[in-house]
This record gives sequence, structure tokens and C-alpha cells, in this order.
Amino acid sequence: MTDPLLEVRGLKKYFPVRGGPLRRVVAYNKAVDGIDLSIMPGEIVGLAGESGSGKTTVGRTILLLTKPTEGKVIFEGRDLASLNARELNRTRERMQIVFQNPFSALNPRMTVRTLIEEPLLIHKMGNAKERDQRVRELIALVGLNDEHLNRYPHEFSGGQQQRIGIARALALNPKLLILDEPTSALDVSVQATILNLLLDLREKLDLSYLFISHDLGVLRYICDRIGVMYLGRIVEMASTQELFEKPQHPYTISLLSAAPRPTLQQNRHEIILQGEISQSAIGQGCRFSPRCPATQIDTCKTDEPSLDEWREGHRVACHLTHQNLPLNIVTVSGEIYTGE
Amino acid sequence: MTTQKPLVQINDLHLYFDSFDGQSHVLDGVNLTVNRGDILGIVGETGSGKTMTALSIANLMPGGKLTGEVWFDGENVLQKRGADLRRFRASRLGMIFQNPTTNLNPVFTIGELLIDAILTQQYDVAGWQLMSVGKWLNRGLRKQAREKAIELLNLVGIPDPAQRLSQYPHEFSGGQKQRVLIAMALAGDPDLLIADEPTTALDVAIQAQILRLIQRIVEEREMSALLITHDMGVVAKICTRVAVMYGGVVVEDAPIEAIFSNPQHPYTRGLLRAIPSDEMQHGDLQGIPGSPPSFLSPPSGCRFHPRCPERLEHCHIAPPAVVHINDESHSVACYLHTDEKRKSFARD
Amino acid sequence: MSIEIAPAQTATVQQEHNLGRIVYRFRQTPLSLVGLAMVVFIVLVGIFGPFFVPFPEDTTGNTRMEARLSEPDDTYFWGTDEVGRDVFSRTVVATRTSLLIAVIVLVIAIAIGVPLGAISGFMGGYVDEAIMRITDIFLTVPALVLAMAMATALGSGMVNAMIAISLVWWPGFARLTRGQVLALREQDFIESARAVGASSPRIIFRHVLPNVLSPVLIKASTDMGFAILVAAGLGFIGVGVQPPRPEWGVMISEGRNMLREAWWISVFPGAAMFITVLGFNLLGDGLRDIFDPRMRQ
Repeated sequence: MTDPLLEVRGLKKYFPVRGGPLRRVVAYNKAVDGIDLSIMPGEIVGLAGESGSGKTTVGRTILLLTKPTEGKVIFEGRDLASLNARELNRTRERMQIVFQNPFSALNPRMTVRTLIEEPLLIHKMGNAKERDQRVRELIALVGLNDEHLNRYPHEFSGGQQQRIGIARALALNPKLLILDEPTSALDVSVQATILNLLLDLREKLDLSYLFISHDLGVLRYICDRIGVMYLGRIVEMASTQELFEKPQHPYTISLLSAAPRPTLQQNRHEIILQGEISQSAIGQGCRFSPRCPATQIDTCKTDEPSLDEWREGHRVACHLTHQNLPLNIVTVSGEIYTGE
Repeated sequence: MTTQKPLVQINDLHLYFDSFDGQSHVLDGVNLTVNRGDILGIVGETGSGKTMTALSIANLMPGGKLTGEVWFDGENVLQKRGADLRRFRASRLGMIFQNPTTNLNPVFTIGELLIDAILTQQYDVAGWQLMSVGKWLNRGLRKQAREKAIELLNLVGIPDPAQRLSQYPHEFSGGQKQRVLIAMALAGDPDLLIADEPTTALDVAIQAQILRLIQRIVEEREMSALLITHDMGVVAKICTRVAVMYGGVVVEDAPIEAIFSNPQHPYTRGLLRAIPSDEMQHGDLQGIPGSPPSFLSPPSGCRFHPRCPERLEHCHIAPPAVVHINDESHSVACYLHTDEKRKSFARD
Repeated sequence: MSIEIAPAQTATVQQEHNLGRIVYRFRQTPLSLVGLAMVVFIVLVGIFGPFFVPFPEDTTGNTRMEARLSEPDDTYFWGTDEVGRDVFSRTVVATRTSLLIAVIVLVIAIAIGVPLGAISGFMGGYVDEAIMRITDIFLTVPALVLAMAMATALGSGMVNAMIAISLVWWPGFARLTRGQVLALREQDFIESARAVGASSPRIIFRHVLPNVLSPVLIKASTDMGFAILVAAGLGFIGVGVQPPRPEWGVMISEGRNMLREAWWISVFPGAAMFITVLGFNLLGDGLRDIFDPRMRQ
């Protein structure tokens, strides 16, 4: 078996919440609260979740754009925490990020050429001629052409801007791209072309992706494996097909049922979650229990469920699943979903 | 088919803006009907003109030159001015927008916001009377308005409404703010609820809650609604009819079932193919190549022709006429259909 | 079309396009055009005026007692002062002094304030606290008091006055820059630069500073007027430019006891100052409308 390209173990990121006149730390916002994740070479792993689930922080913490509070990030077999600044910078060449809002991710005062060339300059790659060659190669790779190089980002449409962002991320020849909602600022007709471009690039360049998105339809289309996050933890992780056909966690089940899909057959099984995601739910029992639509047992209120294997390659963090109890979730139309 | 007169009828709406780069033609002859009881979805991508079309119903254009007619229950909205227009907006229309946070003034309590909305919209109390001096003038009304405010908060599903009236917007979560905004929009017992991307800023679970709420309210209060969105999935959840807009033109207008089972315009079909759905494999998803049209120099003829996969030779010459198919309820502006018609006419 | 020339062509087209756009926006705010015209006129006067004035010697210590307090006439367009010096010549030559003082003051203030503000906003934490508290201290000192203190300690004079004004002027730029940087720091492109391994100096100088340039220039334009006013104020109370070198504040001060008999001594330099300050303010407001995206329609 090959080694994973990226392995994340017990990753935590707490942001201090300051209050009072002295701006003391009064609490912690537990954005990421213990996550294990691995990505194999060539794999596309998705992270799904609502805003406030911590999925974006996971991406930034993996890249060490913010320092993790706890936990390990192991990339190509090396623990990033053990690297010195120079080694870390070399590792950064192998891991890049594409942002949600392409316009804000491109410095408005730089031409496309400078934007794509900058990573090469920083890492002192090649001479002027070689860099120019590489820039042209990259711009072609993302489906734009040389004529676009001397223009500024605001002259492009959203989809083209995102292509430029991808070209910049690819400049250093990375192995792993963290894609943070790369298509959610785009129109659907454009989103589709970007998704296909990403699939294409994976084949051509042998890339792996961590694809962060709130859009389950998009994740289903592009990912090999998906983890569903709730309040800083992964509550369910499985291969895409398995997750969509046999969702086990009540949160996954209700998300799948409520996600808007372009078909009229979606309403019958809809499960509407009450309440909203809130940090105050962390600490007593299962953090999803205040909103959980399933028939809960006592343990749900007292113990945090761990993310355990339910069956091969499918892990779930739910006491009911662990104890093989029926979920008994009532849908809008009054049907009862047991999880079978 | 209903014989009733439609609630809103938009005829040949054009909108122009002047800018440095020249005149942009943002709406190019929009025709649209909202029937009573309908939840009409206006679907389109960035720059399709969907928001502008909706704003024209409230005669709320941010500048620009507007021509055409907007009939609302027998009155031409575009000819209304001043107090008449204000009263019309207050009593007939309710509007909610994408970002609930920026639409609630943070220095007032929810109660103050809601009661003021009820006083102005339902009792037509003038703005100055809401100020500190005028407040005691309408004590009795205020009491009634408070009752009504509690009733509205109840209706939109906010628990303990009486207590929450004294709280400030920041004490409400995103989904609750949107509920409050819906309550405010309902303050004047409107006939039409205009919702501009009401759930785009919200998470899936909250989105489902809000959409269900809108659907329930429209049914219970026998209203109509206009739902502006870019998301075909949202449309599929609650709309009864759909108008698809592209480049400032309504390209297709049909009952919800027909849009999904039998889309006629190549753009509608392209849009549906571009949304990842359950059975798609890698490579099945198809974007629409090209970029949205420029309003400064819009494509000649059909505005979609440069991106259209089913383009005919003459599509670029003149804009296609609207053709009705299937007992008039389904209309589409595309030569693929006019030509078939022409052929059949020729045979006759 | 060959690939070698294509990008260059696009670039020039784009530049013309931008220039046209700026001219167009300028036209939409007529007052800023008026301001621009006034500023251009005053700058031309400042540069070339001294070569064409009728009595250049009056600005370097010459007196003409036989013609003292002449009313405006054909020889002395704006009359003469107490010692017979031509008010017109002196007012025109003073333009250069005032502009020079203002430009130097702003250059120094920007050179101190912008980097400090950028560092403050970018680093945050204790660095930010320290820089901002220092800024606060400098903000509390009025230019007049500082200038008077420096005059007592080091002697009056133009250079000391400029130093004094600069010292109280940079905090404005530091605060503006810090605010801009704080907003920019939230932008993804800063994060993106960090992700590709850019160092902090690189991020500050390549990514942050170019993006705060336009608000700084807008503020500089408006501040030109105010700096001229403050410099004139210092001249007025005698701790600024020293006679016989002409300066508007000094001239107004010299004429203030004779407003009844010889109004022209104070009024003409005052009017010149008024026009200058108004011009820079109108231009600054216009620039803000044109470049500041929040004000843009």
C-alpha cells in the first residue's frame, strides 16, 4: 500500500475570544477540534459543512497559514512542525491553495504575468527566460492565452479570474492543492467548466486535492472521498458513493435531504433541522445532539462519540450507529428513516 | 388555466444606463406575468437582469432610463410618484434581500423596527410621527402595532416573541434575522412578496427552513411571491412557475414541472446540465462555454447565440419572438421553435 | 497575429482606456475640474511667477519708502506695503515658498507615517499598540505650540517650522495607512502571497503598499491646503518664514494693523491663500470621488 501524501492527526485550532476591558481571553472558539484526515496521491478528498463548521480553518491550518493549537500535519512523510523555516518554505512549493473569491485573491495592482510569476521569483526558480516560458505554459494549461498576461485581474470575468488563481497555485508544481470553495463565487455555467478543468489538471499533473465546499452536489461530482464536518469535528467520512447511498450520521442524512437539487423529486424525504450551529453545544455529549432529529439515547447527552469504523472505509461519529440502534428520523412527509 | 386577471404584468420593459463606456442596455424587452397564488422563480446568472426586473415592480430603480409598463392589479406602477408610490409599496409589496444582517438597522431593537414598519405600512403613519415628539401622538396605534408585531414574529417562527421584541438585531442569528425581515415585509399585509436571493447567505439547513416558511406564508395568506435566485435547486423546492432570464431577456417561462421535464430553450437546458446531479460521472457535467454578454455591445439578434450549442444560421440577425407551446402556459424565445411554427404555417 | 506583439498592444489600449475613464469621471464632478484648474494655475504661478514679477528686488530686502502705502494702480497692481514693497510681486513669489513648504512637509509626513502605519497594521499586537500610542502622543501636540517651542530652543526659521509641522502631520498618514492595511489584511491575496512563501517585507512592499497608494495621495492633495494654512499661521505669529522673504502669513500679519488705511496689504495675500487652499481641497474631494471605491456609484 502506498503512503498517504498528507496525513493530519488530532488537528486542533482554537481561536481565543477576548472580552472585558483588559481584553483577556475569556473563551476559545474551537474552530477545529480534533480532526484526522489522510489524502492519498492522486485522490480528491472533500470536506463538507456549514459555515462555522471549521472546514476553511482546516485548509489554512494544513498549510500552516495559521499555527495549529494541537496535532500533527504530516506531508510526504515529514511532520511539518519539525521543519525549520527553509525546509518549510520548500514544502510550501508542494502544497498550494486556491481561494473562494478569485477577485480578492489576486492583487489588483499586479498584471496576470506578475501574479503567476511571483511564486517562481520568490523561490528563485529559473532565469527570466525560463520563467517567461513557464508562465506561458501555465496560462495555457488553465485555458487562457498569452494575450491575457499583461492585463489586470479586474478585466476578467469571475471564471477567468479563478483560472488565473489556479495557474498561480500551480506555478511551483505542487502535489497537493487545497481548494477552498473554489467555485461557490461563480455562476453555475462557469462552475461546471472550472470543475472539469480541475479534474483535467489532476489527470495531467498527477495532483491531489482537498476540496472544501458547502455544496454537496459539487462534492459528489468531483470527490473520491468525503468528510462531513460539524462544529470542528468530522462526523462522517466515507467514499463518495457510500456516503450518498448509505449515509449514517443524522447530520449527513438531513444535509443530503435538504440540499437543493435541480429535480422535483427532492421534497418528499426532506428533513429540516431545527436551530442553528453554535459553539455552545460543545462540551456536553455529542455536539450535534441539540439539533439531532434522530431518537436519542442517554449517552448522546453525556459522551462525545468518536469517529469509528462502521464498515470498511466508512467511519461515523454517532452513538446510535455504534450501538446499531435505529435512527427513526421523521421526514417532512411523515415517513420514518431508520438509517437502513 | 385561470381566467383571473394576473397580479403583475410586465410589458416590454427596457432599462438603459449611461456610463463612460457608452450606453448599456440592461433589460431588453422583458415580458413577465405573476398570477395570483404563484411563487414565480426568476432564475438567471450574474448580470441576467433578474434583480432589476424585480425592482421595477416596486419602481425602485437606481437611476437609469426605464421604459415599458408594469401593471400591478390594474395600475401602472411606473407612473406612480411621491406619496402615491410610497403608499403602493407599503401596502402591496413586501421585500426581503440576500443579506439579512445589513438590512436590519443595528441601533434599534427588533420591536422598534417591526412596530415602525407596521405603523408606516399598515396604518400609514407618517415618518415624523415615529420620531420622539410624535411617539405619544399614536399611543393607541402603537399598542395595536405591538400586538401585530408579536403575531408576525409568531407567524415566522420566532419563539417567545414578546420577550424578543426588546432585543437588538445582533442578538439574533442569521436565520432568525431573515425571519424578522420576512415579518417586516409582511407588516403591510402585502399582496406580493419579492424575495431577492433570500437564502443565498444561509446554510443548507437554514435555507430549507426559510424556504418552507416562505412557502407556508404565501399559501396561508393567499399571497403571491417572486423568488429571485441563481439556484435551480431552490426553485425546484418551492416555485410554481419559473422564468429563466439571460442577458436582460426572459428566454423561457413555464410551469415548474415543464422547466425540469421539458426545458425548451438551449440556455435552460445548458443551465440544467451545468448543475451536478445525483447520477453524474466525471465528464458528464457541462459548462456553457464563453462569457455572459456585454451590455455595452450586446450580441445582435438572440443574446445567447454566441454561446448557444444549437445556434441556427440566422440567430444573430434579429431577436427571436416569443412562442407559446403547450396550451399557452409555456413560452420560449428561440428560433428553434419559431422556425418549426413557420414551417407548420407554411404547410397550412 | 504574432504572439510577440499582441500583449504589448493590449497593454497600451488598456492604459488609454484607463486615462479616458479618469477624464470621464473628472468631468462628472465639475467642482473637481475647477479645483484642478486652480491647482494647475497656482503651481504654474509658483514655478514661473518669480521670473515675471515687476519688482523681484522687493522680495529680497529692497525698500522703497517714497512709494509706501500706494493704492493699487498701474505700477503697483496690488499696491505697496509699509515700506513701499510691491504687494503683487511679493504675493506671487510667496506662492513658491508656500507650495514648497507644503510639499516638503507632506513628503516627510508620508515618509514617516505610511511605513509606520503599514508596519503597525500588518504586524498587529504589541508593535501595533506601541506605534499607535506614539501616534496618539504626536496627535495631541498642536503644530503651533511645537513650532513655538522649537523656535525658542533652536531659533525661528523656515526649516524649523517645516520640521515642526511634519512632526505633527505624520500621525494622520500613519492612521490612514494602518486602517487601509487592516482592511487589506483580510483580503485573500495577502494570504495567497503567504501561501506561495513571500516574506513579510515582500508582502508589505509589493502587496500592501501599492494598494494604499491612492487613498494616501488623495489625503495628500487635501492636506496640501491645510499644510499651507498651518505654515501661514506660523508665519503670522512670527515663528515661520522670516522677513524679508515673502510669505502669505507674514504678509497678512504685516498688514493687519493697517486694514483700515491699506487693506490691500493683507487682503491680496489672503485671497491668494484662499484660492490655493480651496483649489487643493476641491481637487482632493474630486480625487476621492474618482479613486475611492466606497464613494463610487
